[in-house]
Amino acid sequence: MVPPPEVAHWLAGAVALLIGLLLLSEAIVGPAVFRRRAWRAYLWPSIALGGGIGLWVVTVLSTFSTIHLLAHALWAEAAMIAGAVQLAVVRGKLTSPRWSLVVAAALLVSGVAFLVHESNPWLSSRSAFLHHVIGWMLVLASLFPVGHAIRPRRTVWSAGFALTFVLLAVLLFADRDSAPPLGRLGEGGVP
Amino acid sequence: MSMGSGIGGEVSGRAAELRSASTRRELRVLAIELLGPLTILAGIVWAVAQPYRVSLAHTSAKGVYYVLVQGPLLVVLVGLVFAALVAPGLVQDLRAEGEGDRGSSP
Amino acid sequence: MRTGALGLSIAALVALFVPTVASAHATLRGSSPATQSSVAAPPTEVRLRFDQAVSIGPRAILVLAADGAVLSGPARLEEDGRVVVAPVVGLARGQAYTVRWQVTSLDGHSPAGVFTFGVGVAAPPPMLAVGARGTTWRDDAARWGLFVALAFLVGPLSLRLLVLRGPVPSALERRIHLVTTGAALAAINIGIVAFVVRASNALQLPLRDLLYGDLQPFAEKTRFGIAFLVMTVGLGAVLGLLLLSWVFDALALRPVTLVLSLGLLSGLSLSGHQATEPNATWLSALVDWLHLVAASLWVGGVATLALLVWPAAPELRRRAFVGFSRLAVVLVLVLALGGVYLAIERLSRTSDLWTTGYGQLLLAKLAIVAGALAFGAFHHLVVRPRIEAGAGRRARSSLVGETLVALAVLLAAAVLTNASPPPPDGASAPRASSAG
Repeated sequence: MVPPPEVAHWLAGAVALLIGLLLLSEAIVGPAVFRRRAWRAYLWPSIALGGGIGLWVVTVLSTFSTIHLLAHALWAEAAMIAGAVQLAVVRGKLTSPRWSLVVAAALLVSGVAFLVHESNPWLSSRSAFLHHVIGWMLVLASLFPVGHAIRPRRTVWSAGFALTFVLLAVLLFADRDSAPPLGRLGEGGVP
Repeated sequence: MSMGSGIGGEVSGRAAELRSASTRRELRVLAIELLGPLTILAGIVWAVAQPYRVSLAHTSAKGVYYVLVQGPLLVVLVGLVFAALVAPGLVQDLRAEGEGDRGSSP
Repeated sequence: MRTGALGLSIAALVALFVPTVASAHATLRGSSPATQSSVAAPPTEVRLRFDQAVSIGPRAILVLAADGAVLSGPARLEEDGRVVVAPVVGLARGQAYTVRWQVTSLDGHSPAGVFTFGVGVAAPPPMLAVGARGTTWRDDAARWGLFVALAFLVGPLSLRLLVLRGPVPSALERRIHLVTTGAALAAINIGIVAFVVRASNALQLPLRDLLYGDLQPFAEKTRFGIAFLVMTVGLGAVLGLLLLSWVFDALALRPVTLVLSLGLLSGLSLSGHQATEPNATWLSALVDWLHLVAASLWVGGVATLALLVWPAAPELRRRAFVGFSRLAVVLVLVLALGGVYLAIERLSRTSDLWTTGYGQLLLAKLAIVAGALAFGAFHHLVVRPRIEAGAGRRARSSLVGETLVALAVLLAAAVLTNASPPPPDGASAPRASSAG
């Protein structure tokens, strides 16, 4: 049996929160200390790559509408490619800071996919509201990896990138698919 | 005499640098140590503010997924995972970096 | 530590397989009769249940007989707008019917769908719904693109694993990583396009409404759809393995990747003519898969020689050419024997070759195959001895020529796959297009 949409989003929110905490801690201690233990360095890119593969399962369960099929496919590819490139950077296979632009592109594409596949006004439903907020947030957050590519030593880019995931988690946890934008459902999420 | 005061100036300058670096490091250690507990606290606050999100307290809730996946508990879990698995090693490595800096001072 | 990091990455991949969905506009949750079902007695109404309230026009549900006659009355809403009901009259046992529906969600979008059901008979696949159009050039182009992508996925992998064993120059290794990863991505995306195009032939919706079309009957109730679902997830895993192989220089992952990729090719065979026609057997499906595997390895192998090995590893040209030449003999044998068997299965009479459209397409494909075989024979009998003797530096242009002809073979195969074979002797009228 397929779980309800908001359950999917809460799980995604938990993953986003974990990634956000990892990135935030790297921004606090600095890459040199963070990457002293290889498993820490590989962790969030691995989660992104694994999440991308998991999103293919979501994609094939999204055949109830063409646009959801396409949007999930796009997110799956963006997560996989961004995760793989970051793994390669951590491994030392890719050395230029400009490879951050791949992550920037992944965020931009993901944000645009959110906005395109939710073409309703902001306040038409909570789901629409969250799609718009998340979409624009990801589009703007793509500037953080761009900044990192240009000025890799500035902490503000890594901190901003980390906080993006924390905020993404908050927004995903806010999802109650059929609730009004600022209202709530009853117990157990049943409308 | 001038040579002695020059060396003394270098040493006291270096000591001040080390104290400042040590303070910054301790602040970072504190920040890392607080990330997990603050996340756990956020989950608890959320559970208190919106108790209907915690289906464990409402067994009449429909659907096994709403019992398995509850937002506030997920947040607490993430905080626990971070505090237990990630933070200790980071703190250890951060302090080891500090000892390495002190060891390299004259 | 490197093994641990790789293990962690793989564990993260496995741990995140969480099947979940998301939705915004109205989604069909169930129907009576159920989609693609067979009912014992003619129903008096058709009911559609949605996950949220919807609004409708009078023709929100159309029930169509095989001759196109409309058998449904005006639709109405029940249960606070979540259920749409239309009365039907004149349904009879032994007949199949098409249901076309379109509603408007609260968000203004207009989800739509089509499905079939039978009364005392099996429901025809949704691609054969009343009003559905057959396959078009778009289906042929998508299928060709898929064949090419799969060839570029398995070809370089197999050449590397079976012919060029051991270390190779890093330039060649990089190109193989790049081509196979790009091919896997292409195969996934082209597969999605092919699926949507196939569904759109039946849905017959303008593009704006197609974006909200319900593809579930196609995805879950047809072989083509199930093959699409399995291949998409499988190719996603293949892509993950290829990326990990690149990041960690874990060449040990390649055999698994190749085996998985070749296994996924069976999705095309299991949803094609050789598995769905009235006289299809497990043997014809198996031979079709072997035929497809041999073709993919051959086309992909020649392309790898011409486009990757020749420019990036000149010192390996001789070894690669000679090694692949030996492998190609086996591949061509499998192709030829399999092709003959499959042609006999699909064409009851020899005259079908020139009297039926399917037969004529097969003849055209055979003509192109003959050209490819001529190239292959030239390489095997003329070029190979020269290369073994240390000459033959100009082989690249003929390899490129063979690659282009081979790609044309794949195009002919794609068109043939989407065409309708003549019915076997004693069977009923031909089915439209490949698979259901």
